Amino acid sequence: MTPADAGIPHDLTFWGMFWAAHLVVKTVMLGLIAASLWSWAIIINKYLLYARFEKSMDRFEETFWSGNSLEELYDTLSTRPTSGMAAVFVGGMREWKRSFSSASSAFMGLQARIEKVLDVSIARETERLESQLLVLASVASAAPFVGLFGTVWGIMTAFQAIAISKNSSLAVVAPGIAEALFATAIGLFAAIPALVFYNALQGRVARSQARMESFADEFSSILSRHMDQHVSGERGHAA
Amino acid sequence: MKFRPTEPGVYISAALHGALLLTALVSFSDSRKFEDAAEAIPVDMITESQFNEVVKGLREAPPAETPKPVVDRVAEVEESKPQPVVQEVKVDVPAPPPPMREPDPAPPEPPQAAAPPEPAPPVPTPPPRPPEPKVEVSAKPEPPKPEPPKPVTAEAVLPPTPPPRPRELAKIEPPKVAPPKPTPPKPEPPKVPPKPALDRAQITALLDKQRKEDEAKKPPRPPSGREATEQRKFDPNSIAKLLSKEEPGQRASTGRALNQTASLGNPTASGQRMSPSLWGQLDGYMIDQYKRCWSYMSLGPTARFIPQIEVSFTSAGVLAREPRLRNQPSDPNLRALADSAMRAVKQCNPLRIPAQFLPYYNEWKDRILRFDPDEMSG
Repeated sequence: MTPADAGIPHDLTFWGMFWAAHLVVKTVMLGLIAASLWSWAIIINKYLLYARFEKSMDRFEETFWSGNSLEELYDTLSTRPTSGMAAVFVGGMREWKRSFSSASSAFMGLQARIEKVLDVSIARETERLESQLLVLASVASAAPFVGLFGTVWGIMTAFQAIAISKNSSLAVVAPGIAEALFATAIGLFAAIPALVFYNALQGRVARSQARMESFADEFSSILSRHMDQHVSGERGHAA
Repeated sequence: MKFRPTEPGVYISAALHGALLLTALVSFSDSRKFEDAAEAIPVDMITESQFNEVVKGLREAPPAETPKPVVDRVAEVEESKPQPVVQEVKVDVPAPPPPMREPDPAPPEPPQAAAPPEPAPPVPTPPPRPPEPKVEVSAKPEPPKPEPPKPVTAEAVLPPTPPPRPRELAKIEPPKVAPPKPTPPKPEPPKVPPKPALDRAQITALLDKQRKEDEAKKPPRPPSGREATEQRKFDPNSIAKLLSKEEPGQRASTGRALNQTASLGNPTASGQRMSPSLWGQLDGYMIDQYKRCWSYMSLGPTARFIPQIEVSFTSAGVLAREPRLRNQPSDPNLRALADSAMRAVKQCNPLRIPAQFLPYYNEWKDRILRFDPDEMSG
């Protein structure tokens, strides 16, 4: 939105009201419009991101449970940037391989380490999903107040103008009030979608996180099984 | 936030906002103004009879040039209405008039117009007056006054003080006395005009004195216009004399000339209603007629029963619809009574109702007739 292309302000059009407003109210309006713009950008981006994320998780789960070798899967995934469940898997496998490549017999701490790594990966992925959702939350809670501030300020100046002109007919009062209320309108316009979509997106993040956590538990149990086989094999080998 | 193709949110959001703003600009630019709502007109429901009673002035009535108050009879004494004092009078008055007159028993009303000293000599009123003073009391005091027309009207003196006798005298005497009187003052004005009022006042006062000597009765009466104007001082002691001593009550409106033209009517006035005495008359007429029509022989002591019959008349007195018995008796004996009453109503069908009740048709068109055997048979 570029105020430069404003037409001739008719009295009560959007532009007329905007240009007639006090500087403070104008700032408030511009800020609120920017907030609305920003929150909508976040909403759109997040929706696209979650769609991609969930699709990739579905794909990964399919391949993971297809019975392929975990080593192969790790080799294909570790070469490219991963996200979601794949990232968790790659993190866990890396730790696993590193423990084995060091050829130490320190299996004691391996289980705990892997779980830590999985947790960290989940936290990182969740944080990536959640980033900027707080912006929506702030817009949802703050925009009405900011708009109200603009309204109060506008009404204040309107009443000052009335007091000076000493004319209180409705026709004199109305434009000032309408213009002041415009600020609240924009505030609500920004806040309502932000609030609604914040809740919706938050729900999707929680769902994804739960899915990743359940996968992490299964994966760690698989690794633990491998570990036990390995230990018993080594013992058998040593014996 | 980096602008990557995977995150096109900013562009999409900007595009959406731009589109929204454009539509808002288009749709808000012609914000309609409120339709000028017509004021709601309060409507009163009135009954048919109220409507019939409404008396409304004629809209098409030809307008009188100057609306005059209704005058039922010519006033014996003109009542003067307070008039604004003409101020310019004071300029030429040299001095307050000397207290030559004896206290006037009937001081005039204070609000009289001050007499201008330059007498506007060719007074229009005096000439016609002299022949007049034949009967009227009010005519008498006028002649001596050579004043301009205003005092003439102002002169109206209520006759509370004079006892009945002077009035009789006045009625009889004027023809003799008045003619000589008016003449002296009339010529005067032309002569005296430039002179101050004082002189004339003296002269008239002298004349008055002479006249008083002539007739002992007269003197208290003539509070001429001149004197009236001179006695502009307000005497608080004589307030009582100013007050009307007439009995309160309906008085015919009086005025200079008869004017029987009623006003065009009050749009909110309502018509007359029947007075109790009119009701009595109407009831009398109806009972008379029904008595003649009703024949019922009581066959012994029966339970007291008064048939009540609902009837409605046209304005000509004809039954507008079938009469209806309101209290149907169960006893066959009484049914005979009720039937007889119904018969009476039908027999008297064109009821003669005097024309005087026609205006009140609305009030008597629906009636309930009670046929009391004890009363009617008697």
